[in-house]
Amino acid sequence: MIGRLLLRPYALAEPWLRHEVWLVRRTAQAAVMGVAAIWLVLPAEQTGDVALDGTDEFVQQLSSSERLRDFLHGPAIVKPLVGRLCRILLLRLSVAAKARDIARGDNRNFRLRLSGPIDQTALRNLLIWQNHILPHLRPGDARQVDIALVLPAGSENAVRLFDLLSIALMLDRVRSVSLFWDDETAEGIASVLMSERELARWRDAASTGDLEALPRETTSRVELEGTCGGLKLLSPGRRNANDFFKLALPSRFIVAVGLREREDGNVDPDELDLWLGQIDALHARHSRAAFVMLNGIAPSQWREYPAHIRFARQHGLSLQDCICLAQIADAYLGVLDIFGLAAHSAGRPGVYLPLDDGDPPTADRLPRLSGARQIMVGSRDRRRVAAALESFAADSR
Amino acid sequence: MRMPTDRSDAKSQPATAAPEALLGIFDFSYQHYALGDLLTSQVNLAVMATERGLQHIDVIIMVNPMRPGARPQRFVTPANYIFHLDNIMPVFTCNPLLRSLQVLRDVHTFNFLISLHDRNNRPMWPDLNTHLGMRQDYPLDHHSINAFHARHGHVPELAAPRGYESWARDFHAKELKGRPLVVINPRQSSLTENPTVIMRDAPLSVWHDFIDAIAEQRPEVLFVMVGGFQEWEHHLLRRPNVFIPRTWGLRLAHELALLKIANLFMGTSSGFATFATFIGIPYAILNVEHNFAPHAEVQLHDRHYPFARTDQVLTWQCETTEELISLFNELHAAARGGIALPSGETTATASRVSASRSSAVERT
Repeated sequence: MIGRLLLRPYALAEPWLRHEVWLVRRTAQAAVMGVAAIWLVLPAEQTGDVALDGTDEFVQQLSSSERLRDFLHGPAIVKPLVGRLCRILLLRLSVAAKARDIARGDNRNFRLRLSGPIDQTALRNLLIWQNHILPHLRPGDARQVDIALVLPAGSENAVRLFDLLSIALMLDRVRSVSLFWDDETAEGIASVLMSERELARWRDAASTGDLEALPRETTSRVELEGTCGGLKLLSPGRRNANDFFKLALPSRFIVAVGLREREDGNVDPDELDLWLGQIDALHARHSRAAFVMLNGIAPSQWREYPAHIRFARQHGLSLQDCICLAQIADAYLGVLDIFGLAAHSAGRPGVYLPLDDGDPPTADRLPRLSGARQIMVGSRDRRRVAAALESFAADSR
Repeated sequence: MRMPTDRSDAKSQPATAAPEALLGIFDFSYQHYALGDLLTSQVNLAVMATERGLQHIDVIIMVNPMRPGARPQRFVTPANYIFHLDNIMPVFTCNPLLRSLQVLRDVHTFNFLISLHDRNNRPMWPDLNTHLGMRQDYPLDHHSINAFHARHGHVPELAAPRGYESWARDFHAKELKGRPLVVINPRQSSLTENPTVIMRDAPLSVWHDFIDAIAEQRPEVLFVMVGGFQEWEHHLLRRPNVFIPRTWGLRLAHELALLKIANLFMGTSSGFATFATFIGIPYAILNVEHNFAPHAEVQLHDRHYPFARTDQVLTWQCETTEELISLFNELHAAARGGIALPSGETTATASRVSASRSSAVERT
């Protein structure tokens, strides 16, 4: 009860902390200080029952308040004292909010493990997990979650670790992400944020949380149908991709190309050779088309490529930039890896191939035509790929 | 409804058990996205953990999406903070004692974790009181590091970003033909989107002349130009003795890993120079800011940090081509001959400084 009475004047006063009128400003500051002081001297039993709707959001907002921070860092003598009181108050409110979440079994913590290397499949599967596994684990709950990535112990060669993090930071439904190199540490640290029930669920989730071994039916369905968003279109990535288009390929029809990669993230040389021929054939029919490779390329793989082929990474674009590029290019050709799924979700027309070896169970079907001329080949069979490219080229005239 | 608070029901680790790990907190609402400072913090954390007999370091990075940057870094906004965060993530895995890395984007979770840690008297940096002050003084000083060196005769060494060192060795052997690597970083803030203190920028023509001179003297040497994609001029690409990782899709983690295995570093006092300082390779850090001297506990124009070897050199004025060639000849020869020694006189100075200060690490 007392907690509620205190929070209301606090919420009323906060917007006025930096008001230009001295009297208003000082009154608000005095109110905030008074609330903070009373809050701190009250026993926890009286302040711990805060359950007002919107309280947690209020604390979030106050913790993020530019005005409060500027005020606290101001030059006046009393501000360090006032500032400290406010910060302690916010901390206590915040801790109470989190403790409440834990007590009611918030179920926001998930463990994902990698039993193998961090490769193109693992990067793609992180998005598939978010879009296709997570909704089953949290039916009807679209809030963001916190994930703990448990890497293999002694993963001395994990040269795509930061690619994995880059993607995790772009995912719509991932709020916080943690890295651990063994299960014991992961559980020890993450368990303080979970109720016993949630912890039990966290432990049991191993079967659905291995990024190297997601259920085959799920990945097969994605290879035939794509997925539904899940990746942010970041402002810097969008800007960098657009700058690249305008500076390097002005007025061209931009086709993003994503191919299978080696473990180090560079394009598979055999795959590249195969596709260069297809790209040249497409370019012969559509001379205004330019093809932008999204994968990396090693110095030893380099040769002089035709002017209609560019490697985005050589122009300084990062993985995040390239994912954004795939989302805004005019079309996409290639595998349904993280780039392919991003392009498909963004409605880019194109030809989409499975990433995995072995045809999906329904590969004997004809290629699927989804909206916006998106051809889901569903197979890596060369004749079927060639037919899909032919169809795409004819349709693009 | 009775709600648990930090004082009551929250689950906690047993407070009586001996702690194994130090918790390092990086809250970007007041700490900076700055390569050099974050790297120095990693060394400071390793010093603190070692002094306290702790085996591990757990790192929490807090980014409030609504207020992702400190006051001096207002260019970090809710719309672009992921870009800045993504750029500096590899730094944290250079910590040699790192056990876990948490990137939190939720204020409540962050406050809950650090409150619990504090309540259980678990070691953390900064401590809760300091953290509540929301202030971090820059530049970070070397007081704790110098004191540690005075006591132990060495300083903790940073690692390559975790998982990247074997890649670097493989890449060096296969893609760079095993050529001797000299990593360079002539600062060029004026070419970036957020230019700061551009008077500290390196004179690029001086560097280009230096690179060409070494191409004649030592054609086998390969200069590796590290730094942002914007921070070099296009004609550097035409030089056969220059490799620019960013033009091959490689990023900070790859650059740091290549620097870790390089023969020599030469560059402006900056983030890469900080990494070179703490990885045990020969280096020349050029044009060190004069006002940094007291923070490093050295005198203006001292040639070495207190903990440095003879092949780890500082200069305090803007470089010339002749000076770069001279430094290269001195340090590259030393690197090949393996003749580096502790920089004696300055080491003794450091010992004196540190002896007069009791337990500097506790201050952090």
